[in-house]
Amino acid sequence: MNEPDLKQPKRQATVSVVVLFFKNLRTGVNIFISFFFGQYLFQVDLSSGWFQVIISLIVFALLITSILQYRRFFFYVSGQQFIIEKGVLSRDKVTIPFDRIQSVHINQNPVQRILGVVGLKVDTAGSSQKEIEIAALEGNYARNIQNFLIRMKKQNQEQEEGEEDAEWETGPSEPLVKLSPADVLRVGITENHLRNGLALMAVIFGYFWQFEEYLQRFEPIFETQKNFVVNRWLQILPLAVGVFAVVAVVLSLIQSFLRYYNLRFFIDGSGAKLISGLLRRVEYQIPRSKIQFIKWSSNPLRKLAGLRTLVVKQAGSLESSDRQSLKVPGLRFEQLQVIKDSFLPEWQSSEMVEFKASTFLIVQRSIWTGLIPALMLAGLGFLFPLFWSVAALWLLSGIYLAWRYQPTVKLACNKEMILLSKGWVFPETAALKLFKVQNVRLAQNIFQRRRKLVHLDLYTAAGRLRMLQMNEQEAREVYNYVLYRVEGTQKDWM
Amino acid sequence: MLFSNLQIEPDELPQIEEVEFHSLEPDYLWMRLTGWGIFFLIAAGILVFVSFSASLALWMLIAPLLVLALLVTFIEVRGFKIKGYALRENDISYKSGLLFFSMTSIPLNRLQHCEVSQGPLGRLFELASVRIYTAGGSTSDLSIGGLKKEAAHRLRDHITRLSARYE
Repeated sequence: MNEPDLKQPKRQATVSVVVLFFKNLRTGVNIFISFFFGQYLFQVDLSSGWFQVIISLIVFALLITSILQYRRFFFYVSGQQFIIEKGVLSRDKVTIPFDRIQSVHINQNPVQRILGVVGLKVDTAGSSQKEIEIAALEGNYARNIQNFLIRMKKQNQEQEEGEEDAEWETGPSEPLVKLSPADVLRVGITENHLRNGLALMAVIFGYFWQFEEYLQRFEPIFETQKNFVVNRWLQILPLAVGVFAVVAVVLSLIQSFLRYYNLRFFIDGSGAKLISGLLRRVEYQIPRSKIQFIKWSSNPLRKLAGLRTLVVKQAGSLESSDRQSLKVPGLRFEQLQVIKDSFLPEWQSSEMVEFKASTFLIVQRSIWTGLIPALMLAGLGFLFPLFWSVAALWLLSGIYLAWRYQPTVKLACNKEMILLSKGWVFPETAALKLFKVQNVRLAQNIFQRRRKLVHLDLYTAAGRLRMLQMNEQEAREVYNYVLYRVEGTQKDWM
Repeated sequence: MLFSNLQIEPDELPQIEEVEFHSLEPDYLWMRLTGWGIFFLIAAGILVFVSFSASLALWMLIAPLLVLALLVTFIEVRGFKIKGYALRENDISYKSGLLFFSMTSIPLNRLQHCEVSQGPLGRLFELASVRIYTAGGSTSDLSIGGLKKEAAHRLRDHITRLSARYE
């Protein structure tokens, strides 16, 4: 393997000026929109000379900034540390000891792709300021650095029995999962459309709020339209639902193609690696020892298509940040089995003991997700009688869902690992090795005390995993056992 | 005997229940009550202001606040006995909560760092707290309040020393 020469401070590829410029431009445009457009857009004459002068000045300043950013950006290796020097006005020096590196990944946005360069990103477990991103490097060179850093990191960590990280293969081995365009289509169709649609609506409403003042000019038009809407709501409602559904599905499809086009997922003794993306190609790898836990989930549509979503979690400062984890949608049952066998040989090492959630969970969940929202809806019933039946329907379905949910909540445990599963409509299972746990917690409120029930929380560097409404005695035994296992291990967990 | 088929006798496992939890300094209760007192005074001040500007009877606003203050005092006093920490050779535990009880244990080989912190009220009562962090999250995983300042420093040094064995 080629050893990249990093003894001397190195600059990025010269074209990084362009990459940085576009990045700065995007930030600039965002700031511009929120500050300027919101207030004055509709009063400023866009063709006026002053406006053009100001815009040209800003763009020029951004260009100078980009050039300075490039000129003053150096990366090199000193001792056992990877060092970056940067900063236009102040000199910043970011130092990352090799053993603190969580993962190194390569990505490519459209600008970088046109210029034929890639970006390199180094993740650490710490705060986000300690994240390093190199904007533009020549592809092979970046890959060399990636391999070099991962190799150095391993040399700096005494790996313990069994958990040895093998060398990354430079030539890609056979991917375990490979999504064809038809697969991506399948994944897109089985996305959670409701969530995507609601997210889109939130964005649209957000923009409406920003331009509220501007929209007030159209108020008279809205007023006349309002009567029309109120009189014909029975015809309009199904239409609106239909439009919402179509938009949500189309959105899911576009999103899926952008994110998962030509997705390839590799897994072997060294860890997991994911390459995907249509416009912005992302190459993401997590060494085996850095994997905190894995999680697979599904939804009603995916279940029909026989697909599952796998998420590989690594340490990160944000609990549910997608950036810190690796996501593979459209996994078939056999592929999931391979992953289980490969990641979790511990599964077979000893017998699993299973614990179920108490039936009190049905009561608790019926109240929180059924009764309380239903009462609020019933409150609206005083204004619009229609809401009485909506409230009743909500309550009944809330109770039914709670009743189906309770039996799915389970904790299974053997000597080496724990499995936590829950969910009837959206089933998900998380699997983790016991020695990855950092912190155990029992939580019990006054309603649980008399019934001798607790929630059991297992905290890992990649977030919390919770078992609901567990028998107190059993939970305490698991609690003590997990502590005993973690304290008895010498293995490095991250 | 849930773990009998794991060939581990559950009774042989070290059990957290058997550990004696240290209770916190009694002054800590007074410190917390003072903190709440300041909070309720500020809230009352705002309500007085509101009652003048909205011409509402003052007692209608203050009465619920008083009830809330009494409730908080009751919970703090009763709940104080539950608060406590325990240090074992390999882990540290903390428990608290009257309405929402919780018990947390952090194995010392998973500890990231550990610090002593003291707020303005803490300086007044000469009390400090020890915060313990693990990797990943940005907030402390465990915070033991209500320690004498020297005791807090001693506890932190002790924890640091114990966890340094794993480096």
